[in-house]
Amino acid sequence: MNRYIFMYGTKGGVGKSTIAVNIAYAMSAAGARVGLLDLDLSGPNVQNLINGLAGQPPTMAGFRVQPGSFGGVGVSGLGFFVRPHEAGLLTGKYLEGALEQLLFHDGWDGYDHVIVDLPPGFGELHRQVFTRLPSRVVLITTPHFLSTQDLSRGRALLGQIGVGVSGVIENMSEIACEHCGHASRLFASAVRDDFDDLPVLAQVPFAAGPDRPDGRNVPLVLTDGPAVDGFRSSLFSAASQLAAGA
Amino acid sequence: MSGNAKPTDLSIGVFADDQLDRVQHAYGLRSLLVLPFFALNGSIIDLRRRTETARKALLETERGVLFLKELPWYCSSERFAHFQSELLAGLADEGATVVAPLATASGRRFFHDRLTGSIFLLQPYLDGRSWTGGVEEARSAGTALAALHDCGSRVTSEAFPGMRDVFASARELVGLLPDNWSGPASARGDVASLADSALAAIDRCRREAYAAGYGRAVVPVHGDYNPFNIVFDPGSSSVTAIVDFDNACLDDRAHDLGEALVRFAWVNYRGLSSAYGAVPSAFDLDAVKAVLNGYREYDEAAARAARPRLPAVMTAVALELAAIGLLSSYYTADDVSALQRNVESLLPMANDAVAAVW
Repeated sequence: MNRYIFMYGTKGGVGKSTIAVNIAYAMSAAGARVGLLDLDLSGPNVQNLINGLAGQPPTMAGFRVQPGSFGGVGVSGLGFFVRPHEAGLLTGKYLEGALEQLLFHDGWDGYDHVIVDLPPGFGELHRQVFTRLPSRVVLITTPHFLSTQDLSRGRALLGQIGVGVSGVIENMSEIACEHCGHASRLFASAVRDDFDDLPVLAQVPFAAGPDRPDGRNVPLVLTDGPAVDGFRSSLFSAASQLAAGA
Repeated sequence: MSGNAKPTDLSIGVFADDQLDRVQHAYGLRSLLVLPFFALNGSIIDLRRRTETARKALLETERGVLFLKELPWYCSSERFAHFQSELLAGLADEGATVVAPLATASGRRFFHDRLTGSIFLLQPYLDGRSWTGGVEEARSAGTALAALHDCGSRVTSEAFPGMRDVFASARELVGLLPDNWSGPASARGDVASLADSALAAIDRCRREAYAAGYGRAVVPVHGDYNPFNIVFDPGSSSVTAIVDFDNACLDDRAHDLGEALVRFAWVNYRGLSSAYGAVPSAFDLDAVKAVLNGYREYDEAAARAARPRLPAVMTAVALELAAIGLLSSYYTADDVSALQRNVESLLPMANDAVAAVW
């Protein structure tokens, strides 16, 4: 079973980082040793989603970025050491080097599973990681047709380079009323013919999570309450399937 | 320091792949991996963030990790590259704490990429830590500077240019102010007035320094001797290397020593960054003493000879840095009046600072 599980969606804003973070912490809560790498190099967000957890940021050893640890999960990514307002170009040989420093090294060897949050689109970064690292890929989409349509393109490219897909996670499938609990759709259901052959690992309802005026966030799978029940159960289920080798 | 304004960096701080391919070929490197990130003082740093004046990159190669640097716009010429690389190689041979540039396959210690015009130096990467503001570090910096001058005095090369004094650099920078002020138009008149009075003060300092023997003996000087161009040993306050010789020239050793006094004991920095903080109003006498004592420990005679010229150099450098502060927007229009007061008070303050500790 491949240790690396890539969370991939072609469209931006579908919740890849949220799903990646919560899958990682759900797996960890189930007892696995889990790593979590944010490879969205131009828009890293994982650090913001776990900043309510106690932990240590990544460190450097031998010019390789070693995972830090937050809440028992080994974490890494640019957002842990590049300040929010700083932007940088990582193309060509710089991208190749960044991936060597962040991903392609033995710092991840001690984990049962390494969840990798990928940026949207399909570019050089995707080509390098998909072709260099044996992995499993989970497709993330919302029900919206713009998301599924783009994801079809991404899946076609994955097929061209021979990368198999473990399944689909449909995010923001519905939203539950915080007063009466009635579930409503956020988007009109899209035709998903392109993914009918894939297992649906989870249909994840939208969950706003608790208000956090201090800006500190913890993964929703580590919280409880009726507002996140559906979110938690769907992601624990997906995590369980992936841990079992889906 | 450079007398030319910085052009816009359209490359956003990175080298193009084909440029790196030519570097690899020129130096005969079998493998080359760019390392965008490195560790400094326990933190992970993106090197592209530290490319304020010139592009730099760390390269992992079969010869270990190397530091690639493009000469910045203000010194990007074959003549200067020849001088700088010869100087660094000579200093390293003499035992100075510098890193000699590697030679290309053709034997030159720099690579001129004629397709882009860029000139590169490639050096072994040296691990270390940066300045933390300690007095012992200032003392070590003084000692390392004296050693640098001593070693430099034994280095000769046909590539060395003529003397260029510290006052010329200061004049150039201050002279940029009126036409390059990007702050409020309402302050333009005050900035121009500040520039005029600073230029007059620099000229007075120059006359005073030459009357005190400035330039009778010259050595290769660093030209930008500040805490951020010094690599310190992680386990002590000793200097591991002096870096960034892009302003090197032949000049009176008072140039570097006076600049060190200003950079360690006058300028306020924002935290431990090279960005300037509040406009200074007094010298830190502990730091003045530390730098001077460090230099004197290594070469008392040279320090004594340079001493009469130090206040004038310190004043010129401080005025040059005031101009840089305004041009770089470290200082604002609100700071102009304080900077104007410094124009008149700097020379006596510099005299008093040196006299107070020596």
